[in-house]
Amino acid sequence: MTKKFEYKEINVEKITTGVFQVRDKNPSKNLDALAKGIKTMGLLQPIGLAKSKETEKSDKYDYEILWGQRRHLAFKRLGMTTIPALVMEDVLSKAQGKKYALQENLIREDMSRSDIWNTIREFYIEFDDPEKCADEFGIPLPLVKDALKANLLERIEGGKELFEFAQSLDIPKQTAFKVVDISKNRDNVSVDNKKGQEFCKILSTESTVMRNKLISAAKKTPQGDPQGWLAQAKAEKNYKKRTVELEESFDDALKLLAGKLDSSPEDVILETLLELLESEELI
Amino acid sequence: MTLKGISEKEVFILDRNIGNQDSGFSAQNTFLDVVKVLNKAIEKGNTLEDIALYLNLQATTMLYRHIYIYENLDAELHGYVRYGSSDEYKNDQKGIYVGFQMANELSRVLGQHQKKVYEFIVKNKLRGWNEIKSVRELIDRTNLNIDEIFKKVLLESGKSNDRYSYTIPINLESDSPVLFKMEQDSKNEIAKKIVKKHLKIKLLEVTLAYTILEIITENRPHLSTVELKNINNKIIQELKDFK
Repeated sequence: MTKKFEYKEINVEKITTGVFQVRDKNPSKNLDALAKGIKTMGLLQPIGLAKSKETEKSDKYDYEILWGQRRHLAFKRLGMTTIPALVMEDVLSKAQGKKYALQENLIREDMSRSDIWNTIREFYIEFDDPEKCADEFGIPLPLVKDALKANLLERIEGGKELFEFAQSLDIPKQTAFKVVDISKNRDNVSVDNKKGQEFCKILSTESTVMRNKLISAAKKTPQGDPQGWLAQAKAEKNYKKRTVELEESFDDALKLLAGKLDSSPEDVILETLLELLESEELI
Repeated sequence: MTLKGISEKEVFILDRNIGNQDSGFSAQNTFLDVVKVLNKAIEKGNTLEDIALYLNLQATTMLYRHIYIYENLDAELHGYVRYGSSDEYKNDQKGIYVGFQMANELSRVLGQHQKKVYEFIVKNKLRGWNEIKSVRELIDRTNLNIDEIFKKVLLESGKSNDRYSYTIPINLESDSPVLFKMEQDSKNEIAKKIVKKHLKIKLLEVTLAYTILEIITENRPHLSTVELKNINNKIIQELKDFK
């Protein structure tokens, strides 16, 4: 259920910037310009506040900022004692707070990829599922995927080194990203460098078709190893599906024949066809 | 708008053949007919952009490819390039023609190898451009000689004539965690021993991969599907029971 905000004037000293923040860029940047604007025009949009576990324990602070961190700083810089705010009296968890913060930021302006990553980070590490993240935080899936990719090398320990190693072997950028992703340890925050490098060496001497098969094998069995993925990729066959239509009377006869041979209709067709192809020396 | 210096008939040749695959019309001319008109149009002062616009093409890519193939593909192979739905040239009994996309890939192979690659695809009835691309990439990426590359590509595409290969599905991770954790060579060795026990024909290779067991023999086993199925079940059961 949607929680309720109430408009209030809150003492600026009772507000803290805590765990709900999603922006990681320097909030003090161009603060003078913002303060000047507020002095001239007043505050056009109230900031958003809620209670958190931290504020509940604190004697000093009553609320945490959901959105409007820079406006709060500007008010303090201007020496103002209270600030207009939309206030939620409920105690929000970190994830709930981030969700509100993110939504407001997304509406107000495009968030940077790192902002999105900071929001979904803990949830993603736990579930390793972009779709779940998109659902949980209400962020469009393409934005989540974009943020994950952009931050892959920074957020995965050893990721950048592995990516550079792959590039040194002329592995294309897109494939190198996939190698880093595939080589993640179970902790989801570091890579198995040895495994990753071995995989890169195999990929570097294969054609694109085989590379795609290798990546697919690795994704199917992430707990496997590069030699196993190679075996899997080599053993994979390309199948073509053909549909044939049989008159009902033929189909009945085919079923009878299959019954007699203790086989299935499909196997009878396949076996007959293979024999014919073989006798014609086509296979 | 018109194209400078070429006749209506020549425009028709361009229009019916270039970027024509989704139009429903069959290609009417050969690559050489078309490239001849295209070169003439360029000589008469039409730019690729002019021609693309006139032919209602989204981009100049297809025009550029014609010129690239003409300039880079061994001249002796020009006559084998065909347009149209792949079925049209795939049905050719002699199997000597290559589709436009295949020619595009072939023109990117180093000149010295082009004819050999062409002979390789014709001989082995390879009708897709992927195999040519693979050969080209393996020339760049490996130290293998061209014959070794051909062998590798044939094996990987499952079109090798000197062996018969079939696969049985398995989920090694859940069915046999002990085997799953072993090194690949050991897994293959164990699997080969088990297969040998049940399948009484000459085995060339056995690969126990994560989701398939691949068995490679000289010839197709002369067994009915029921007999083969029973043998396969026994093999899989023994792999599952492996401790």
